[in-house]
Amino acid sequence: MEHFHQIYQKHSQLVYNLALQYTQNQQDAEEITQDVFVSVHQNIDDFRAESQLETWIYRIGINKSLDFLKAKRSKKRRFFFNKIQLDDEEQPLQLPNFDHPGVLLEQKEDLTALFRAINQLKDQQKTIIILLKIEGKSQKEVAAILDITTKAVESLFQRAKKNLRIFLNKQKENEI
Amino acid sequence: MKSNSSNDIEQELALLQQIQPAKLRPEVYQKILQKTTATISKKWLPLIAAAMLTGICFNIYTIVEYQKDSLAQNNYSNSIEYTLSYE
Repeated sequence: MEHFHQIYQKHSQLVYNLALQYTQNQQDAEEITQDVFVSVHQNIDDFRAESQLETWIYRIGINKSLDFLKAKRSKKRRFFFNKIQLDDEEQPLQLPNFDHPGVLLEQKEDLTALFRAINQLKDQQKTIIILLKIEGKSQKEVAAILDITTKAVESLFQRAKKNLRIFLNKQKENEI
Repeated sequence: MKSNSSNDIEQELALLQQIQPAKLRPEVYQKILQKTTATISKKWLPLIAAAMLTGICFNIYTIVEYQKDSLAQNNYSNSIEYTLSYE
């Protein structure tokens, strides 16, 4: 248990902030952090030192965050489906509550728009943007975390940037 | 938002680097401990259930055996052999 406490002390902020980049919501990020460390607690005996502990925890964090978002999306879809059946009219897709404590007030508007575009990316592209641009990881580190080649990281990053540009342009058109 | 020419996306992404690290509330650790304890308890649940079932079965067996014995004893007490043994 003491060993687990040490792991928690060392990596909890990392996991929480990673989850925040995926969800942009404090409550959701805390929930994901709990799930990640319950999983770490359950599987710590199976962890083999083939990869670094931090890399392993990053992987769990990414998977739990993506699973959480998937579950939330399907819940929302079910809710809308029921609503449509009841009201027989289309409901607008609602954005998640933007509650990111790491975002300064003066940047909130710009970052909300940027995250709205990032959230439209496919899971892997979104992860690449988060790891490279927010977590400040190198392409080599990202490749190790995702267990892919650095070439694949570069290719995913280029695709992510291309799609981001499209989504941001669309947002701008809608504003006009 | 700034206009989106070919290099602009890098400028937009540079904004992400200004996100400050957020601090996790200490209460979260207590919740994790509760969840891990609940998970450990869940692990032992089948064993506890099996032990309880064995206990219940043993109790039923003991009661049935006792009833059988007392019925046999009762039958003997009412039998002619028992009456004769006193005569």
